Amino acid sequence: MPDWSRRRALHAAVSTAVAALAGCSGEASVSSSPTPAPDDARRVTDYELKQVRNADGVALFGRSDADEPTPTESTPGGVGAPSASTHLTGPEELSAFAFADVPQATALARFVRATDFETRSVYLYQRSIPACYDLRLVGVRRRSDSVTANFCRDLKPADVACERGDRDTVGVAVRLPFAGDGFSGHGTGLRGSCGGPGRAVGEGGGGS
Amino acid sequence: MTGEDRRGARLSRRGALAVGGAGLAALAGCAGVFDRGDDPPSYDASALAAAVEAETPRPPTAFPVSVPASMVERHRTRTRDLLDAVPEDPSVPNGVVTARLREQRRRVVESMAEDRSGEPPLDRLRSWRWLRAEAAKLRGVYRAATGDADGAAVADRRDGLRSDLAAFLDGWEYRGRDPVDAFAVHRRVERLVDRCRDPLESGSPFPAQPTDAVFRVGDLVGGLERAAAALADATALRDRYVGDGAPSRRAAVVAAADRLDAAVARADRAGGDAGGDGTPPFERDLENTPAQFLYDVASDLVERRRREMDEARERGHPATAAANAGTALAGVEARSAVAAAIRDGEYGRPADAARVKTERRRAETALTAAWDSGPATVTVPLARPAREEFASGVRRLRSELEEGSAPASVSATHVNWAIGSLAYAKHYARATPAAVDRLASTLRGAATDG
Repeated sequence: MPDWSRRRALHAAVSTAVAALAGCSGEASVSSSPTPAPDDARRVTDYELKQVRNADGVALFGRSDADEPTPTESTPGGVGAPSASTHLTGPEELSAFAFADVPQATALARFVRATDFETRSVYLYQRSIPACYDLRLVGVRRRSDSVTANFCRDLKPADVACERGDRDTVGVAVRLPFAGDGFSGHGTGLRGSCGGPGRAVGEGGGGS
Repeated sequence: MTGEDRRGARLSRRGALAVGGAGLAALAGCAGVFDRGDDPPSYDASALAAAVEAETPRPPTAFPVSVPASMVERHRTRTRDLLDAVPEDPSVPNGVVTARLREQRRRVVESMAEDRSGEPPLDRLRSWRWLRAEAAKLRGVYRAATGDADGAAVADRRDGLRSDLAAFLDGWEYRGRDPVDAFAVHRRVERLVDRCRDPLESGSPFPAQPTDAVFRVGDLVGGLERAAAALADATALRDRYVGDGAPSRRAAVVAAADRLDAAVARADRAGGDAGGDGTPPFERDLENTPAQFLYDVASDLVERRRREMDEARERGHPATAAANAGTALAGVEARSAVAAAIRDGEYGRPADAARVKTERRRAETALTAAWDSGPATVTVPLARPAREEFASGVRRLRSELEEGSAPASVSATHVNWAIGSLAYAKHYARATPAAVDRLASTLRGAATDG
């Protein structure tokens, strides 16, 4: 079994539950560490982003040592892949995750594995989303011991074909410009609107 | 935050202030002091249900201007035309947009078929204005979703409506033969002007890619239709009322608003019902009593109405400002009566559920008397805070009784709140006739002076 500390295991479990509860309206922002003063949070701008979308709704990744659905299968009940997020701070943590055998998951895994964890860390996120909606990364914020990624969700353009009841899985990997030493928590925020398609207010950052 | 949430927040603040006198109250032996050793009681649900079973009384609907069927018919025809531009079973590539279009169309069709013959004429007009705007919103969404949205046409329509509104405002002299009737009619017109102005001032820019933002397009188009409908009704009501040769009453209404404002300020200062820091003029522990809520409502109304009076003036709406001044005047009087009653030990912990019924009967009697105390065109708007608080008390208790599986008892908090609301409705309604008389005489006096 990889060197997966109890603290980090708890951290990942909490984050998964919180991401699932974040819902589609309002803004949720949490961390497993005490919330610092707002002015302690700094915007991260020079990150690299990899975002993928699987139209079959499969889970793109999951803990290989956890009692979770096989990554290539969607969750029973039609609710789509389980939401999950983690802040990967080293290769030993990465080895605790298995990626599904679908092109989107492979692309995500390749991006994550290409990270130099001596100087970088990766925020990794997946979420089930209705097929007629887009998920966008709004921005990333860093505190002394935690990192938070904020997303928004918006309806796709009216002329894009999609079925109302279908669900896709969106996977996001954000390569952060700092190593993960000293970090003990992470959070995910999701708001129900980006202010109109094509108008998501980004806080800066790169993409790939 | 909902109104009730805000109220709850205020309640805590004022409750805390009032409770500050608890020690003194205990020494003074005031009636109604809550024994902290007891648990707050609960009350028999069936008795409470009987007390709030009847509907909140409806105000008389007298209005100096009749609403001809043609005014409603114009809205209906326009709504039908807008609806006909959207297929009965619309379909676009995005399944969520399709579902919303179908749902919205179904709702508009169902609402159009509702029987509105029992509604007061002005309420019926309002219903149709809303429906007309909903139909326009639907058409706007559909056009955007099918690539037919025309941003230039939307901009032209907005410019045209702004010009129409400016022309209307230029020729609006608050004309009327009777100054009190003129106040009532033009107050209604002021509200319609607000309905027209809001979407013209607050509309967001038309999206560069309408298919990407179909509901934003719908909101823009619906807002302009609402503005057009409101302006049409404002124009029709004004023109039907004014007639030939009626004098301008604008100066009289402005003067009346100013005089009443000064009267409110004097009464507020002289009342001594609340110190500048909001300290209550009594020493009594109000915790867990109807008095706690009652005093909060009584204090809040005066502040709120004076603020709304200032806002109406800033918008250039003297009739609304005068009406708010009238309600503030009644509110100051009601606050004095409430403070005196609390000082005398009233509105302590209710003995049983029958107290709700008693308070409701008293409030209803006072409200009816208030409506009958003068021309309904003045009594109804000035008595509105009483009816709203009456309805709020009844609604809150009903909602608690309907919560879950028909509770056998209701907690003291909800009963206290209901009694507080009904008691305020009573005190305010009793203060209304004097404010009505003051407003009417001030309007007539200002018209004579002018």
